[in-house]
Amino acid sequence: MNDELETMIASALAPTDAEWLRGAADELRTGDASRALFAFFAGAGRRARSLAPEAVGKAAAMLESMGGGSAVSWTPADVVRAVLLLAVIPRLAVGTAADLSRELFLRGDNAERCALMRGLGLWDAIAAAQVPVAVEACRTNVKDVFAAIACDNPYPARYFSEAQFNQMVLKALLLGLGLARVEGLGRRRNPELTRMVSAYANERRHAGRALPADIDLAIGPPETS
Amino acid sequence: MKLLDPHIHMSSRTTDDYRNMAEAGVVCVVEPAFWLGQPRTHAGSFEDYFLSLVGWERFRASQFGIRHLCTIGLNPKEANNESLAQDVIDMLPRYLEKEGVVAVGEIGFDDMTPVEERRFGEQIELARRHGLPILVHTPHRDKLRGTERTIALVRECGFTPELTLIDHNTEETLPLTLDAGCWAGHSMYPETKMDETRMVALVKRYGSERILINSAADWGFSDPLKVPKTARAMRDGGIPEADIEAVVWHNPVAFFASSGRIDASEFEEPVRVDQRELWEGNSVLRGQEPAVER
Repeated sequence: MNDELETMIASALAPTDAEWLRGAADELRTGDASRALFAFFAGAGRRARSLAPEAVGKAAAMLESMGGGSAVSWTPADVVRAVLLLAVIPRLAVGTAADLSRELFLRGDNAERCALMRGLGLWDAIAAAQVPVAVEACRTNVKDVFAAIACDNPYPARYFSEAQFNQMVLKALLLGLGLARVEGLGRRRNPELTRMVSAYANERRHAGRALPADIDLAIGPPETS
Repeated sequence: MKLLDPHIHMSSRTTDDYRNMAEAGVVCVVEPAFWLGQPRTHAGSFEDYFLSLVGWERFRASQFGIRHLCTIGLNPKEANNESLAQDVIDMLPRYLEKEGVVAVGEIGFDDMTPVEERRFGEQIELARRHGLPILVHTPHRDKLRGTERTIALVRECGFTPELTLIDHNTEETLPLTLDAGCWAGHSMYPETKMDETRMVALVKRYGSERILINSAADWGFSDPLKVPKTARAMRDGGIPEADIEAVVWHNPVAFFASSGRIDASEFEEPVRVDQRELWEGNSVLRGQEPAVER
C-alpha cells in the first residue's frame, strides 16, 4: 500500500513538487536515510500546498486503514510527511526507528510534530517502541500537538499504559478538546480514571465552575464490545 | 495601513510590546537570528534558539494577531568562535528548510576578520542552495568600509543583488547599497544608527524604491514601535501615502516573498487570535481572561 500511496500523492502534486517527492523518497530508500529525512521532513509543508484536495481525502482514508490517525485529521502536509516516513521507517530496526521519531519530534516545528503523531500507528512492528515519544508529545501544551496524539488517533488506546492513558484523558478534558474525539476511551475506562475525573469535577465545583458537558464519557467501567 | 517590522528580536521583548505593536498596526515581524548579547558557549544553544524562533516565539506572536517569520544563520560576531562556528554551519541546512524561514541571516561583517568573510561566503552559498534571500548586518565600526566589502563579496559570489537586503544603512552607505541593486534596511534606534527625522530626509531624497525601515529592537536600549513612529514622521513630513506604504509594507513583503515561502494571499489575511492556545506548558496568559477573535 506504501507504493500505491506514494504514486497517488505524487500524481496529485504540481510537477515540480511531484519531482521533489519522488526524488526524496528514492533517496530515503537508498541513502543515509535519517540525515536526509530531517531536511525533507522540514520542507514538506510548502511542497504540499499544491496537493489536490481529493487526493488528501483519499490518502487520509488509506492512512486510517493502515493504523494511522483518523481520516478527518490529516492535512496535506501530514500526508506528504507520511509518504516520506513510509519510505524510511520500514527499513529500520525497532530501536533506530524510535530514535528517529524522537529526533523528528525534538527538532521539529509544530506541524512536523503533529504529522509524526498522526503516523505513529502506521508501523505495527515498531509501534510499541514509539510510546516514549507519544508520551513526550502529551507533555506539550500546544493544543494542536496535543490534539494530534490525543484526538482522532487510535494510537494511545492501543499502546499507552493505564497511567499514561489516564493522564492524557484528563488533560484533554482540561483543554476542552472534546472527549468524544479520544479514540477507544470507552473500552480503556478504568476505576483510577473514574477517581481522577471525579476529583477534577469536585475541584471545579469548589471553584464555582461549570463541568464540561462530556465529562461522563471518562467515568465508569470499561465498555465491552 | 498594515505595517511589517522586518528586523526585530522579539525573543527579548515582552508581551506588552506585542500588544502595543499590534495596536499600532504591526501585523508581521521578521526576527533575524543573532547573538544573545553575550557569546554562546556551545553550538547546542544555537539549536534551541533556532527552534524557539520557529516554535515558541511564533506562537507567542500569534497570540497578539502578529505573524512571525524569521531568518536563520550564523551571526558575524560568533562566526569568530572557531570552536562552534563549523557545528552551527553544519546544522543550518535543516533549519533553513523550516516553514516561515524567509532568509539566511543575520550574516555579514562585524570586526571584518578573514573568518567572518569565510563564513559569510559559505552562508551565501547556503542561501543559493535553499533558494533564500540574505539579510546582511553591517558593522557599527568602520561601517562604510564594511558595506563596501559586503557589496564586493555578494558580487564575487555571483549572488543576485535583488535577493540581498543590506541592513543598518546611514546617509553614507545608502547610495552604495542602492547603486549595487540591493535592498536597503534602516534601523531606527533611539540614539544611534538612524532616526525618524533623518529617515524622512532620506526618503525625500532617494524615494521609496528598495527602501525598508525596522526597529532592530532587542534587549538593548531600543523601541519596538519605531516602525509606526517613523511612518507617522514620514506622513507629518509630507511624504505621499504610497511611498510610506511601500517602505513599511510592500517592500519588505516583496523582499521576503522572494524566498517563495510566503503565500501572498494568505499573507494579506489577518492572523486569528486565540489566546486559549497553550505552548509547552506555558500560556502567555497569567490568570487574565483570554481574548478570542471570532
